[in-house]
Amino acid sequence: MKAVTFKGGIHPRYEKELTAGKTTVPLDAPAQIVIPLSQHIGAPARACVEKGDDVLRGQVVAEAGGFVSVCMHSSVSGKVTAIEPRPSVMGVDAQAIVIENDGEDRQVEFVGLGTNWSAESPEDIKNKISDAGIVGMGGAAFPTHVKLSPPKEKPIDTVILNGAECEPFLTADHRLMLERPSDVVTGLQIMLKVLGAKRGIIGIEKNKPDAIEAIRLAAKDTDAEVVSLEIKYPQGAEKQLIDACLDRQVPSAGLPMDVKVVVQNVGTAVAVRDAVIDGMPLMERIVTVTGPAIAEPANLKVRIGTPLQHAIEACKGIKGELGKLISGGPMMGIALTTDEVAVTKGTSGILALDVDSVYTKAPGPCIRCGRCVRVCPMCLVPTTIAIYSTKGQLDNAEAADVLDCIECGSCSFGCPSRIPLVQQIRLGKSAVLAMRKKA
Amino acid sequence: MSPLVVAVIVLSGIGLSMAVLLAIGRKIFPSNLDERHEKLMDILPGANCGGCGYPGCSGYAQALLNDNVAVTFCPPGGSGLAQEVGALLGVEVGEILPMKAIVACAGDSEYAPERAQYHGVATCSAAHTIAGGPKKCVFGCLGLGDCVTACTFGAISISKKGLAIVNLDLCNGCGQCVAACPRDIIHIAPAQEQVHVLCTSPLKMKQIKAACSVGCTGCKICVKQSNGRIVMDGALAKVDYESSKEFPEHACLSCPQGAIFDARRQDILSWITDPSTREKHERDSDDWKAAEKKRKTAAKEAKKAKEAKEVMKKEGSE
Repeated sequence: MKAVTFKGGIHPRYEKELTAGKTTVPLDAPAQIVIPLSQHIGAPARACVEKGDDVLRGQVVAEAGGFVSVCMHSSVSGKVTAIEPRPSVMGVDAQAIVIENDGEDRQVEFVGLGTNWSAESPEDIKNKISDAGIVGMGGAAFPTHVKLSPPKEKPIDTVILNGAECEPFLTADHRLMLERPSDVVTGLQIMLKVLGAKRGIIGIEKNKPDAIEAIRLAAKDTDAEVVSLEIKYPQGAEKQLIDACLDRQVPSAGLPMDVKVVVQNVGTAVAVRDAVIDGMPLMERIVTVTGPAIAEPANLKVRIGTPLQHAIEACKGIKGELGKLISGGPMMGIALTTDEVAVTKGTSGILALDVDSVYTKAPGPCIRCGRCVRVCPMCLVPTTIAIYSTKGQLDNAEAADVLDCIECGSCSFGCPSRIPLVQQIRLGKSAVLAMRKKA
Repeated sequence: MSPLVVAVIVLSGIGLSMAVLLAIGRKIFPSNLDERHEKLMDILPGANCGGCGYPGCSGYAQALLNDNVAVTFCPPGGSGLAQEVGALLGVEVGEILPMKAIVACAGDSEYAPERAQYHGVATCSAAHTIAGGPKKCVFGCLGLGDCVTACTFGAISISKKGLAIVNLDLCNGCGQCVAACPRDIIHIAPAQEQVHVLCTSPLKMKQIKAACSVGCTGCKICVKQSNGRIVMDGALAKVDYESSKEFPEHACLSCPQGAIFDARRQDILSWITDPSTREKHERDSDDWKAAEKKRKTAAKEAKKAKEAKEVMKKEGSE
């Protein structure tokens, strides 16, 4: 079968061999977990426990703060010791629930719909998903039940599962597809039923032939298709994935549902399966702890709320001098200022780079080489948009489709002058959005 | 005739005829622009700083004529200009207070350490959006100079240790820097004010001490020592610029963090850039605290003695 892809993109070093062959190991629960109230896109959750309360594993500790929001569950049993601002992935302290682990793992009774889930109504299934607090687990952490509730006038005919995992270093999705292939397929079938869609596709980059084989085997008796994708970044970006798999183009300022598609991460599919069949809320996830500065890189199954330092220690800590600590992958991850932040539902990886891997020289001038234009997967002109953004020419930036930028970082990666194009464009994006809001 | 001469003659001819046409056109279609507009443009400073809130001096002149707005909006022009404009438009003008910009942060790299290195776009607004900036204090001056770029009058500079300093001689209080600062550190205060709290962090004692050694911890000591001029806003001390009471000299000495600046003791430039000024301030502060302690114990003892005396008196009368 021929591998498919999109226009543009880059070929960074993938460095996945550090962890690709390593089976996921469960990480023991830390003495204290910190559950940030905002781990997702949308309104922060509202704490519904108080300081001093005794909580069980799987108990709801925070309720959804709106429709585009999700609830949070405790991943250990123990006592709530504080609800206070704690260091967050975003750099500034944010409200979080701190729970002291009593180590007993007393848990609530999980009630699922069982293997007979297909007899239930889509509404009931969706409620199970929303009760489990599931968000997109690829990194953006968009509430899944919202994605599964498209407006009536936008019918969905295809669900694509994203198993591309095009971010260098990360292998969390790869391991998941190898270790739980049939659960990935079941998750897809559940989402197809909820959306009333006919076609299910699982897209996997062809650098993971074992995963393609495993999923194909698991999907043999179902109508889910496995599509092998060209090895290229950002192959796992929603719009690029749809382009590659279906040759449909999401219109400017549009969403996948405008072309009758919903894209979900393979990790999300497994979480959906666990929630619907076993009634298990989203309390743990696979995190790839990797990078040249990690002594023993590994794939860990980590409870949500575990401090990063606990996970790093489990990998024998930092070796040599730490250059940069990143939550997520090197292309779209977030650089951190401290390792005290907690693993959230969207943390796909913890990447520790050594000093040599971090480029710190000041950027040079644009030499008009056009490399950023060639690699932009959205077919934008990054250099021009970046100039408009930094010079405050917001009308021009808007006309140049600044809002269509998916912030994948391909332009910055390719720039021979090392201009921080994505950062400049992001500033322009937020300025344009602020301007629109004002108008 | 050489082509050069022809060109000169032709072009001069075109220029002359255009000038004549324009002059005639002006007679036939007279400008409906108020002639006072031109006069106003002569009076206004022409810096186009936007401090009045209108697009440049021309915009303000237009607004003065059409919308009847106050004549006191031009910060660079100050009181003198307001009088002139008032005279032209026939408006009575009272005295207006000159204003100056104050950078309410003293945490340069010596006092407020960084928690990370920042290598991105070199503007404050960009650095501010990345994890709240590289400084431990997420409220302090980033020192990348967005205010310097915004200032039309060249009144702001960045110190060697990365802190914005306003040159009060050049500052007109127009407020462009206030709008440019992503951290809201700069504010506009009456020029006559000598004492300022140089901190905007609302955080409590423990968090401040971890992030900056010259930040306001909200201890409230200064409130008692300032004759009511300093008020608390949550955990942050603020100067009440509305009040006209005398500001005691020792108010700044009472601050354990040295977060209060008093222009009567030294100018802002030496306060920020000269370590010896800080040292002298700390010595004075220690002296004042020792004297205050002495005074308090003396007062206590006097009170005790008085009480003992009264008790004796009581016993004696019984």
